[in-house]
Amino acid sequence: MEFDKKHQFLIREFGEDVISQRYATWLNEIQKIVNCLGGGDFFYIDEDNVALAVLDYFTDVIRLKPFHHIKHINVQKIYGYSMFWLLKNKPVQTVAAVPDSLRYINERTVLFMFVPKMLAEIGLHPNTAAQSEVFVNFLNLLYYNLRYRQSNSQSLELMVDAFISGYRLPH
Amino acid sequence: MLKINVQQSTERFMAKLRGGEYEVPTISNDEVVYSETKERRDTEAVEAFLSSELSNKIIELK
Repeated sequence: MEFDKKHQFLIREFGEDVISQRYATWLNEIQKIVNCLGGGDFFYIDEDNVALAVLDYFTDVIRLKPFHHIKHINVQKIYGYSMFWLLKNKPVQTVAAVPDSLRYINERTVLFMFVPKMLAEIGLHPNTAAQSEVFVNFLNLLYYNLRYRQSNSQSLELMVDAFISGYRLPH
Repeated sequence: MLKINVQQSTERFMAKLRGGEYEVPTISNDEVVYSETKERRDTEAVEAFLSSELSNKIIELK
C-alpha cells in the first residue's frame, strides 16, 4: 500500500462506494438521532467533522489490516473504531444553550448509533433489552465511560466484544 | 436544525476527497537508525546511571 498525503490511498483500498456510503449512513443516522432527541434548535451537524471521522476511521482500519493479516475486520472492530473516531471528531455542534437532557450530545449520539447495532448483532430487540435491569445498568456505565473516562478504539472494541460474548455464553 | 440533503452532502464530500482536499495529518519525525546511532550510547548511559547517586535514590524508593 502506497500512502499519499491526500487520502487517495483510501479510495484505492476501499473504493469510492464504500467511503461515500459510510459518510451518507453516518450523516443520515446522526441527523435522525439529533432530531429525534429534540435537538433541532440547539445543534447543527458539522459535515466536515463527519467527513473527518470517516477518513480517520478508514485510515485506522487500513493500518490494522496488514498488521493482523486480515482482509475484512469484524463488527467488534468496526463498531469500536467508528465510535472512537466519531467521539473524537464531534460531528454535532452546539448553536444555543442546551437543556441538561441534551448535554454530551456527541456521546449520546454515539450511543444511539451503536447500541442498536450491537443489539442487532446478537438478535435482541431493543424493547426486550429495555426490560433487563442488567442491560440498563450496562448502558449507564457505557454512557458514563464515554463522558468521563479514557477510552480508545481498542477498549471500545473490547467493550463490544465483551457484550456480544457475554450474551452468547451458554447459560 | 437545517436539514442536510444527505446525497448532495455526500457528493460534496467525495468531490473534495477526490480532489485531494483532505490532507493526511502527520507529525514531524526526525528519523534515526537507533541501532547504529544511539543504542550503544544509551547502554553506556544505563551503566553510568547504575553507579550514580540517583540510582541509590531509586533503590531506596518505598
